[in-house]
Amino acid sequence: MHDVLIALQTDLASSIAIRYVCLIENFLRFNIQVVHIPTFDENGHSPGSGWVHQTWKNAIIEYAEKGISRLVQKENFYRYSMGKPKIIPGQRNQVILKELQYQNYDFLIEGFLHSFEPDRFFKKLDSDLYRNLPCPVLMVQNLVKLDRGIQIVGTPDTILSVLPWFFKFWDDLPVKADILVCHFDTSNKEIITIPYNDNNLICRIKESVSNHEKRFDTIRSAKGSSNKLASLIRDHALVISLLSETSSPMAHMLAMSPCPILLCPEPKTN
Amino acid sequence: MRILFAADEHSYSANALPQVALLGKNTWADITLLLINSKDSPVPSDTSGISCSKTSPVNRMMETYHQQLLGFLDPITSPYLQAQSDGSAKTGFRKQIFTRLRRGSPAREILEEAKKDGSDLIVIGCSTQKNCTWKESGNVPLKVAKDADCSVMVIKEEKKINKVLCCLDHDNISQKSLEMISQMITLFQADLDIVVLTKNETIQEKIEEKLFWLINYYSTKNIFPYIELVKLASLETFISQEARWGLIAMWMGKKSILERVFPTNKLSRLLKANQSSVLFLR
Repeated sequence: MHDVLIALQTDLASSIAIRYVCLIENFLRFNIQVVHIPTFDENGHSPGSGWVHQTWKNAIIEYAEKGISRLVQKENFYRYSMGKPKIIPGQRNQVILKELQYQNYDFLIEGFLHSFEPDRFFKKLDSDLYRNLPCPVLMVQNLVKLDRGIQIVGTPDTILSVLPWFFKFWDDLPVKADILVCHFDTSNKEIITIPYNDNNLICRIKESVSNHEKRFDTIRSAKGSSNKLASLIRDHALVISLLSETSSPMAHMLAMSPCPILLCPEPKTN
Repeated sequence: MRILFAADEHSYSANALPQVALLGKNTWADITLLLINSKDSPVPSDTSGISCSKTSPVNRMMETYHQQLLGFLDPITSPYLQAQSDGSAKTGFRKQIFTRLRRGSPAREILEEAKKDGSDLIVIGCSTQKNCTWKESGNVPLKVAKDADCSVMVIKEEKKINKVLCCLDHDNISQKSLEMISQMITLFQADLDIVVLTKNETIQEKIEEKLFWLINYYSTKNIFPYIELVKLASLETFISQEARWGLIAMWMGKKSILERVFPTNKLSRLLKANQSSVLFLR
């Protein structure tokens, strides 16, 4: 069983995240801990100081507790989550990061509505939380049926680092999984699939896969711009990739995918 | 439900017939085939699905469309009135296909017929080569889309619809339009994208509530829509990129800012610029 932290707000994105978790939890088993960070500056500055401020803060926390409990009840999420939701005031990214670092979770889940413009996605990648993640983050952008399958994506340099994360968490999902190796080329106008140049890499991927006694539906490589290659990761139940720099073509490609994305940190080299 | 199919004698009208047949077959709507004759020729009386005189080209065209439409339907299960080979008519047990001919300014005649008929949906084909217009008559689809009281579906070409993009910018959505979207998704086995138009990065509370409701509504039909935020300023770019997938549905209610974002010239660009059919929902 994996220990999972889910960061919830009382909004649509979190509702979608909960529904997605309920979908996959039918097949995988998690210990789920809910955390909510109330926003204190939502309706203006806090009143007064001392006990007045503290009373106000307690009221906000109590209100937040009720809101999150209502959301959990409404989505029937209480069947999956362990214990009471943690309501921790503070700066959202810092609170989550601290929680991840001290409690040793296997991955983080959060809802994040997909935008056509990539700047929100890049802002997320550039955040303190994502730059310092000790574990993968499942960014749930939309609710997608599991029969759409899983797409594991990487460049020739990163694809072998992504696979272990898939083997660790997701290979028990009873859906097909595909591997896509992306060769980014801004001069290309059309997608070109070039298996012959990747024979060596494809062999290594197959070897890694068979060492884990797994099978994939397709293992292929494609060359093209981020824009063109993005069409290959638009209709999946889950896309798995390494966390990338926002300036990278991989980040640009991932920004265009409306699917749930598992972003995995680079493996640590000892 | 009442569907008005407005046609002229050109191929883009004929190309829209299969979609009309599909809609009729799945919704059991009453269908009116309206042929617009903008030229000076005799106008026959209304017919009700029975073969009419074959003397004039216009009448022949109307009969051809009628027969072609029936040809797309299963003769055994179709509920529509059908002409038999011996010239008699087999009475349909539920629904009818009416054929009408009007002469005059096409857009005006179509809108008048729709009003008189109480149409729920106007279906109209358009040329993809001449920027979504009617040959010899100009911006007929655009005028109808802009001024109709009911929903209007402009069919660009006979192509498979893989996705329905619904552009949402207000919370006032009629049950009728929702059902129309559901029918389109089911008919074409298409995915659904709900495009939320925003001015900045946040969604208005009322729209967020409506989205909660929409997700619940569609999940009962086992439909999982994609939600996508698009800034108003990027809408045209978004549509031109996404439109290759099939059908764009836009809620054009009174509260919709789409009415302001897409004034006539921009609506025209929307219709012209992309390959997709467009459904204007009211």
